[in-house]
Amino acid sequence: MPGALTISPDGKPVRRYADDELTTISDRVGAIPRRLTFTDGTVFETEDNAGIDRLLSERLAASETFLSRLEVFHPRLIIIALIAIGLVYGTVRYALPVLANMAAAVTPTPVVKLIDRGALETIDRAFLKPSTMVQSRKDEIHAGFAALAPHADADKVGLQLLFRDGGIIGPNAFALPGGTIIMTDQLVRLAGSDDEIFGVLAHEIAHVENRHSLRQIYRSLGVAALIAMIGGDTGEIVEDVLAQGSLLLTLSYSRRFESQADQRAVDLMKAVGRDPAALATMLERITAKCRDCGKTSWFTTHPGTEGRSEAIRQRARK
Amino acid sequence: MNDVTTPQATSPVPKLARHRIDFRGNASEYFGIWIVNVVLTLLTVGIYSAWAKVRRKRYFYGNTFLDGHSFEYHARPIRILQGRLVAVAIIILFNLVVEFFPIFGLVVFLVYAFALPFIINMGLRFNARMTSYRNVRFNFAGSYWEAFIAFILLPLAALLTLGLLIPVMSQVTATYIAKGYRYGTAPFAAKPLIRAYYGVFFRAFLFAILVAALIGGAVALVLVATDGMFAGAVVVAILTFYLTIIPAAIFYAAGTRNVIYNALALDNRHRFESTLKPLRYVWIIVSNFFVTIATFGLMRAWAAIRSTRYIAARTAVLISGTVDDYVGEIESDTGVAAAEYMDLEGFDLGF
Repeated sequence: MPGALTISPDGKPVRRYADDELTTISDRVGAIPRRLTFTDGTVFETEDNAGIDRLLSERLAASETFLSRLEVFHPRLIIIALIAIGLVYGTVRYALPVLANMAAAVTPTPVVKLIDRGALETIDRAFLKPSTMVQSRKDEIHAGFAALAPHADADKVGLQLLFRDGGIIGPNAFALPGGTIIMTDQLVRLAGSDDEIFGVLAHEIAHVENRHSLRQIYRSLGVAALIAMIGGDTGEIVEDVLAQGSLLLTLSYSRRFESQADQRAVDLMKAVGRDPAALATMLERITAKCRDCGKTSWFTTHPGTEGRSEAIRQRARK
Repeated sequence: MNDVTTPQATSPVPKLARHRIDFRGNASEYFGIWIVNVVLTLLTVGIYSAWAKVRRKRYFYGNTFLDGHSFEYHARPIRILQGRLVAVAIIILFNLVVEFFPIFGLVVFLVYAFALPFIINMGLRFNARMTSYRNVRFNFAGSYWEAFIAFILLPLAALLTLGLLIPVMSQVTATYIAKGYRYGTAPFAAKPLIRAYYGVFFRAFLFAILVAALIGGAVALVLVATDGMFAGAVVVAILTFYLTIIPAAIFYAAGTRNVIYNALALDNRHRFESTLKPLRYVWIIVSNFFVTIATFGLMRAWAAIRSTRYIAARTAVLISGTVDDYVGEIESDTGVAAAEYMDLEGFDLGF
């Protein structure tokens, strides 16, 4: 567009601008009016996008109109949509776990310990009560736990066993990322033998060893960030609800983590000469018991029951 | 409150010409912009999201027409990116301190409480200055202590009174934002009645009770039928709470938007009108949510256009004489970090 531009609304010339007086031309977005800004602050606005594009065709490089051409409603968008779906799937399925594992691996131990402290405070306040178990019974379990712990790599970070009255969460046990393992009185009472208790403890130690909860936390943070990035427009509720939902998932492990922890628990139990299949018995016991304890059992946080007992027994026989 | 049709006798006010807001965006066009934004954002590990935001906002602003002219969004993507990085760093730092040094929790909370009004004012100013209509930029002139009352003290008071003071909070906040806004140098002003806010609050409350009864009953029925039993009670309560509080909040937001718009004036001359139907608006947002979920997010673009179009169609400006004679001031784009912080933390205070 060499030369000059004459602005003439209704065909009546108002002012003539030299080429170098034109400072900016707004990019094309959909069909919104284009604005040509001049050095004196004047703005020329037009809805004639095609006209502006024709004027610009000689002055703009193809890369500068690439975006708006890509965005045009065209069958090509189906391919872009498929790419988007593939990217989201690939990110959640492959990239996030890898990133989460990396983040978990480089998170320094003191930081993880601090997460434990905060998390314990929260759950103590939210739904746990002080344990009512007699001290001698606690001491027995602590002794067995102390024998089990040195066989795990996690012992380096310092494993700690705590007892609590489970309240509404009933028979339950869970591991915090920094090595704090919490077992409820209800679970101890439910167990048919000590080996069943230690089987569960070995399983939780395995979660700590592999930093499962930390990896899970990073994964759900990643999913929340992804949703915010994709949604991120008009403050409607979709993003909020989905992001909250993905954070709730932090509470539960994936099936892969569960079977990994089961297998490792069997090895740990073998190492201390206890019955490695006791964990399977305990799983079945909780399944039976929890037919009437609903959705607050060990299984909401430790999913994937089918086949788990079988897999444990199989490995125990090896 | 709605004295639009009775101009005051003291000044010779020309007849008010009613101009409906005309939103010309359409779902297929926006779908292209949105899906390209998603792909490029994912491919660039989120960096493109700043460019995506600018394109999205330019699309929505640029398609919002009043009296034949559209609005325009001026923020530069690179500034948005910088602001976003600063905001993310602050959020991470803040959370780390609270998480790891609970002892300093109170100190951090106090620092945050006293910094927030400042951040909100800066963010409002940035967003206002980045918006123009007919080449005249908007602006926002805040006051620290009024913002402190509106955004810190009154929310606390509302919390302590179990929500009874929410309408007072809404009224003060909306009034504060309205009178801080400028179009060029011309001020906005609004004096909405607290009574009107309580009216909306009461209707939202009745609506919530109705929804809770319906949803609670339905969820309980399903659980009893499927032998849910004990845990059922907790689940029913939590589900009902969320499924009730969200629609009720949307209902309240629609009602209070009507109140503030109908009380708003620009330069003491031009008036505004908002006639959202709260039930209809709840239906649009809730159905948008389910359509988006059911289509794995693909209909998100359609949903965004749908709700924007409804809001625009129910909004009008009553122009007195002409808006030709407003002039702008040259404005810088400072405060972008504050605006991004508000965005990331989910403040939604714009008009």
